Amino acid sequence: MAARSGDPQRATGTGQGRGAAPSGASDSGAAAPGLAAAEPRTAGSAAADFAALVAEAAAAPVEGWDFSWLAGRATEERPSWGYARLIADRLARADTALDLDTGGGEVLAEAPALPPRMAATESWPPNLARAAARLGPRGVAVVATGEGAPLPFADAVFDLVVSRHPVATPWEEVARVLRPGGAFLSQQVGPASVFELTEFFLGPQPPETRARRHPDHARAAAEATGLEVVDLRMERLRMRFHDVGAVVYFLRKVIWIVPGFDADRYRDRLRELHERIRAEGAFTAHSTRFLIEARRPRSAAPHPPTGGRLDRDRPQVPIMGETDRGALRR
Amino acid sequence: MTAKIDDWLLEILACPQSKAPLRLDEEAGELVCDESGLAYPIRDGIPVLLVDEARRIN
Repeated sequence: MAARSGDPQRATGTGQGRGAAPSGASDSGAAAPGLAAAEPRTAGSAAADFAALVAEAAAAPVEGWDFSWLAGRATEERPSWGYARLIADRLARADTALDLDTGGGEVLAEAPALPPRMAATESWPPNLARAAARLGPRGVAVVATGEGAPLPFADAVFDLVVSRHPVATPWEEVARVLRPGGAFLSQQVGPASVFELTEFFLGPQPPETRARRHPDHARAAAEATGLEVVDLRMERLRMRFHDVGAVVYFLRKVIWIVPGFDADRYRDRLRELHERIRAEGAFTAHSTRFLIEARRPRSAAPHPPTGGRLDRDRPQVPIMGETDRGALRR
Repeated sequence: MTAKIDDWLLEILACPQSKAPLRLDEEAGELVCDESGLAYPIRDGIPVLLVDEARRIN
């Protein structure tokens, strides 16, 4: 069973701003020396090198969201806005808050001060246990919810809802549970994230696939519920893979980048990739992330009124088109 | 089996189906929605608010 987040950064246990995933890179995102550089191999051993790197990565356990296996072998830049720091600041001033899709609670746990009333939802059982163990001692109420199901909270109870890489944003429900004046602050996976790898293995992707998860969709969905979008930023973040084993490991763990990835099935492409990395020093890709803050206006009721019930017939705008973690869990 | 839920949490929780308030049945270790006739389990202190996991009551 692979892990569940929309992104490797989510549950590394070290979190935002500390250069966690996928590599344990520095804050600057600067490339760390790869293993290949640290342990020079002779030129004649290229084939054996390839086989060994792939075999090692194909056998490595990929459960959970700890990406430390990649330390020194791949790096990823961090978004400049510093999500963990942003939410820590808001949480310190909130009274009643919710962390939607908390994962194992890793990011929330980084906040030095939590609101007096803090709830966290999660739908994947292994993460639930981790979140409860990590957050319970800090007074956070962890609640199990159904993926994509209505939120199990009364109307207008939270002054802050945060979420890092949610499976999909339930905009109607977010608007419903926010108090007037309350805010939703979320970092999400953006469009065409890590598509250099996707396209290396699968070929050019159609425009509609590249456009999935565009922040404009999030804005439209938020505004359709009556929320005001007060901040929306997107960044492309450089990733560098320093050996083919790092790519194999990453693709096994983050299974939606190349759906159905298998080291044997893609052996020829992997060999080409290996040669390319040996020639160029690294394979470069880019992840995309956006930050969105949406507020519920102080005066107006959320639109349209839900009457306390979810309108199941209302069309939902797919924000996270592939509902990444959902796919992982099945 | 008994279960405890903080008062503040009970105040803000709602049945995911009906959105009605939930009632704690400490003995049964369940959160009950009288409106939808569903009893949600509390497992290891975690309220499991999934309709699929709920017990139907009359």
